[in-house]
Amino acid sequence: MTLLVLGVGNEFFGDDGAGIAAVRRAQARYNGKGVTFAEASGGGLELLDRMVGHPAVLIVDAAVTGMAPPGTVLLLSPESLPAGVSDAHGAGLGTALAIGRRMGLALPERLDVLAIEALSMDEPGAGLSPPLANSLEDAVAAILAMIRSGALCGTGLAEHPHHGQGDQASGQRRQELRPAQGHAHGRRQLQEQPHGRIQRQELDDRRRRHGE
Amino acid sequence: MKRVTIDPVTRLEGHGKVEIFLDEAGEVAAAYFQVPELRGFEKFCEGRPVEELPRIVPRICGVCPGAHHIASAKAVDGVFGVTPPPAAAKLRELFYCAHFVHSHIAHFYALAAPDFVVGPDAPPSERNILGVVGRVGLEAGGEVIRHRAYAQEIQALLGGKATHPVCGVPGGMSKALTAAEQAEVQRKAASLVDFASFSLQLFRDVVLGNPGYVELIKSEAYALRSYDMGLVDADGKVAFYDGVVQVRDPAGGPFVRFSGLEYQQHIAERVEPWTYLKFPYLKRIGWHGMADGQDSGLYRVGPLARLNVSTGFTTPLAQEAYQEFFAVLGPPPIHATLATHWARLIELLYASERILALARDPEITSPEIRVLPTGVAGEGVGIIEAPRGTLIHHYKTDANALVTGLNLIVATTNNYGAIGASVARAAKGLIHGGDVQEGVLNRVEMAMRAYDPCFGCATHALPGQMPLTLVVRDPAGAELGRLVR
Repeated sequence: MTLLVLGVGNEFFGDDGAGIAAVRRAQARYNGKGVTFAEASGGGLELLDRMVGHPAVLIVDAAVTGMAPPGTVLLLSPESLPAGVSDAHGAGLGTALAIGRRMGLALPERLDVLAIEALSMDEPGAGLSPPLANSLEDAVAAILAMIRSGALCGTGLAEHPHHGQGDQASGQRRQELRPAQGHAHGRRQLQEQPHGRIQRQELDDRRRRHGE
Repeated sequence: MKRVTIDPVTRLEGHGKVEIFLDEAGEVAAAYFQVPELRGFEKFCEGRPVEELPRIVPRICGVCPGAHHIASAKAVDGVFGVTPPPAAAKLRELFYCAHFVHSHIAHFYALAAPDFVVGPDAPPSERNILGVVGRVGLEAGGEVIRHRAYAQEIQALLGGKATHPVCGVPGGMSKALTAAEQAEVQRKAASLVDFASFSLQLFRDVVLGNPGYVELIKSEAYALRSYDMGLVDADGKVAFYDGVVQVRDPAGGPFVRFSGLEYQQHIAERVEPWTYLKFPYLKRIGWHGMADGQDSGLYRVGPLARLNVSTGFTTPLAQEAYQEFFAVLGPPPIHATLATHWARLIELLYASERILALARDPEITSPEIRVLPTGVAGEGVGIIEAPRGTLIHHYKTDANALVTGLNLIVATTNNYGAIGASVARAAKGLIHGGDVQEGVLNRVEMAMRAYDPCFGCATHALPGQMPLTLVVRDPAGAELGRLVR
């Protein structure tokens, strides 16, 4: 049973490389077993290819959510990622997961997304911006804490084959996929660990804030 | 004037923004397609050892990295003055055809099929890849996912990594193909040929079998009578990896052929103040705005242009499909922008057949895969056909092979003027009386989506979607209404 820790991003586009940088550092630091570390740079369908067959997956990626200051580590719920929406790369993660479910692929039973709030991902160039370079340890600590907690807070995606049939179902979906008790325990541990500037916020909150 | 903004355009690679200006009567006065381009990449590469570029430039984009890698490898060959041995050229082409397969599958099923299989006026919540799967069925949907993965696996096998390959080195390839790997590629390629044939049949059944769609494809709103450009081999057949650039005029007559450094004599770039991306045009004709026709230097590249400039394909099934294409639509050149989707599927078949042919070539497992560079020529040009059209990498270095200059003309840049002209024509033909409902705007977007434009991007962004925002403004710029998809 292996946990896949997948750093996603592009290290030649500034802060977009934060997820990959954090995963590399976590891999160097981790001395246990049962974890596969990997990197990916594509869109949702590529991530789908990578995730299939792993019982648990932790995706670490940079994001500009506007929800928190740059460098903040956000724990996003995969169910909150929009499914069934048109996307620039064929399919976003939410849509790819919905496709995987409909196809009956061996999706991970647990999936979490750690997003590192980025300052800029639009400028070509290697290296992270100062706020992200300074707070990269937070992300590394979060990855290691999530591995050690043994109870990643994602919910049983594979058990819910009918989700993601359209955007309008998202409110209902969120309710159905509320994490079970055991998962909540794991999350509490996370918030108590020393580096933890971790916030769990769902993207739906952001949509509400933007009045959409 | 009313101002209509579609920002960012959905289902495009990277960010684009459309501004449509309406007059007082609600008719389209003007339309602009703006692009925030990432020219910084060229600056960022200066001073680096040129042999590193094939591994750096694929990071321009997470969608077409294979194309940048191969164009870069060819340009670097030129910088070192080496020609890869035949087996290396074949391995590169095999890898590259797998990249085409992957790209064309993704575009057709995720980006184009929603408009044709689900319908251009279907609700946006259904007009996406999930809606396509709903229509074609789970079994066919599974085949799409499986064959897309095959193309990725072949790329990973040859390229070292599926998305950002590392196989192309100065003078050849970094790794030979083993007999076991050859057998695996053959097995997957045979399946890809069947899948490509299935996809073409799907297009025949769903699109060509529907008179409304055929009318849409042939309609004036989606026509653009521009010059066409594409790479062809010695027999004039479509070539993806290597060949001569053939340009034909809007009537189909030969205009010019060139290769390598000669591109500078034939392509010039126009700068406009309202966009970051330059507009390339044919130097000999000159820039006459975003107009089509014989007297405008505007040209286009991509699947449709490749069919127009060539005499067909070297593989049997694709050649048959090529003949069918022109039998149905008329003799070349075809100027119907939406026919690009059909052309793309014919190329999917060609690329699949070509993978199979190369994988069956006894030379493909040859260990002779590299010529070691012994000197620095200092300048190299790599011209290939990317899935979206002609791609040019031009590098200059000092005597130590450190990069001193870099010029990249990517497929979408080549198409930029044509995309702008197509969008303007579609907007004028489709928007009347101030009617800017979602379905109408989607039909305008379809004009540019056919080009599969790719504007350079940071590969992906959470939450993994690009919403469409439509803003309607009055002449003073105040917002009259807003539509969010």
